[in-house]
Amino acid sequence: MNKQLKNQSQLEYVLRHLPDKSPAADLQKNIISSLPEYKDPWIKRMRQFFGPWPTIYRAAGAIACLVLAFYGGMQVDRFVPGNITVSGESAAVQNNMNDKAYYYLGRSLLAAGRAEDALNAFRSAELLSPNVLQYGLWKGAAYRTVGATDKERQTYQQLIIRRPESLSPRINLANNLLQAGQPREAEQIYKLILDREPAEKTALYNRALSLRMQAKTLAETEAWKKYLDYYRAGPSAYRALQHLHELGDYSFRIYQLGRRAVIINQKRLLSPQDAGINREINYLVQQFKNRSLSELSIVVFIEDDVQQAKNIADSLRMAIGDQTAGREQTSIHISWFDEPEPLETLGKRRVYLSKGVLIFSTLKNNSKKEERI
Amino acid sequence: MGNNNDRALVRRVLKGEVQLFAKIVERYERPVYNLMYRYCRSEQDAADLSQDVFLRIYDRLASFNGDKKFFPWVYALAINIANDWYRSNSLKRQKMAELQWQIPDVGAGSEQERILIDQEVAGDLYRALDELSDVSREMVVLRYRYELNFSEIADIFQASEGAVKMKISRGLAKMKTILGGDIHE
Repeated sequence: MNKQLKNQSQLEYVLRHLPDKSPAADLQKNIISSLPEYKDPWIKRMRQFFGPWPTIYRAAGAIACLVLAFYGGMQVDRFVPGNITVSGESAAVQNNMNDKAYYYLGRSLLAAGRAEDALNAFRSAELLSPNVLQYGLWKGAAYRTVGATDKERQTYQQLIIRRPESLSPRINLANNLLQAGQPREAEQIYKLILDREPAEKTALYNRALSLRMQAKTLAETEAWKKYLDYYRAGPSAYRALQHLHELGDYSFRIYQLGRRAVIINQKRLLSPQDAGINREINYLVQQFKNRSLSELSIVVFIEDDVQQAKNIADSLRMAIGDQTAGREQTSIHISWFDEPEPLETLGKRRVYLSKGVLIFSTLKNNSKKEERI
Repeated sequence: MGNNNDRALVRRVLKGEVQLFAKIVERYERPVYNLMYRYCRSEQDAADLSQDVFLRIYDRLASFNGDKKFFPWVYALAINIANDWYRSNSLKRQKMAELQWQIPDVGAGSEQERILIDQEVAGDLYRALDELSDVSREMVVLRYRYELNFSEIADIFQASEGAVKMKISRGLAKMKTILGGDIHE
């Protein structure tokens, strides 16, 4: 978790200073130029119009206006012209600029909502320095912003030919295909990327998305697990976990250790023979060291097998104890049940796990306060 | 956003000094644009929707109750337009909301804001805000970013103050959970 967001007051502080996105420079001008001439509300205008007339004329006038308004409403489409587009200012691109100047100009034009002009700037930057990857990637982004997805795709394809070693254009090409409704083709590209770079974060995440779009639930489940094997921090990890739970897989869970929510692979913790158990326990220990926990409680649930539940709880206590030896003492309490574990999912559903491990902690400075999920 | 100032501006626009509406646009274009961007995630759509909002504000200016604050009234109109957009575009929005790109979003905000809150924190914060429902997210933003009180937020969403407090508190708790955890490497 980001160090600046550790508690509620810090979270509130950064929310108060949340940076805004700047609207396009010409938004205000466009709004003002599109305003119609201001008129009082129609009822007020009617009142003013009929005010000095005798009552009978007023009533007759009102009825005539209603009839005309109805007829006028029926005919309005025939007379009102279509949308008039406001042409933007021409791009302030100078001929004597170097590639970096064009690049920064493009970035600022894109930020200002002038994607067409930004596109010209990125094109110029790329013409001057065809080997700079960033220029091409931003050109692709500008094409995406203006909705030219075919040209965006061609941009990435050209970048791949020019810079075959770079993964970014491949990822963006796969994303483009996914957006165009070609998840199978996209997935193949993500897979190639992961063959070369197994921990590539964006490809790991988007591959799972592409599998979801193909309704390949088993492969999707494995893909989310793979993502969580590498990345357990931040909103993307949280969302990956949510997807996994939606698919009915609870091998990963979120635990509250002190003030920190931590994602742990409980399946590994429950399998003492699993080769990854030491890594998992090491990760668990890293999460609560230096966090002033006075107690760590571990509850193991194995349906209809109390002995196995006890054995696992014992071995977890021992393994955690081994890894925390010599450090500030956190006492570890274990308990076990031969029943399924009731679990509330992130989607607030209640499920029962035939095998489960519940971990919760007590803070040192407030031993009565127990925090758990 | 001075309320007396707003009332005076509205009165003058209604009396015919239409050019002063530009001041209202200048004052509120940023929060309105950002609200729209949070809904539609497209700069072009956000700009178009902001334009619609100000046209509606202009159109309904005479119905503004001068005893109340102007900003919540503006925001309520904007929320209605955002909801209309959401209803017709929800599928498009959901389908690709999670896709991650290799180019970071174009940064925004003043230099001081950048110093105060680095891009990584802002990015995480926005992603955590994204996990809240639209209503909870906007309540959190209104409460902290624009410092509206609970009763003003309740007015905008036509909810009770208690419901607003509960949604904001739950929203913050969820954000804390989402922002928790460490990189596992």
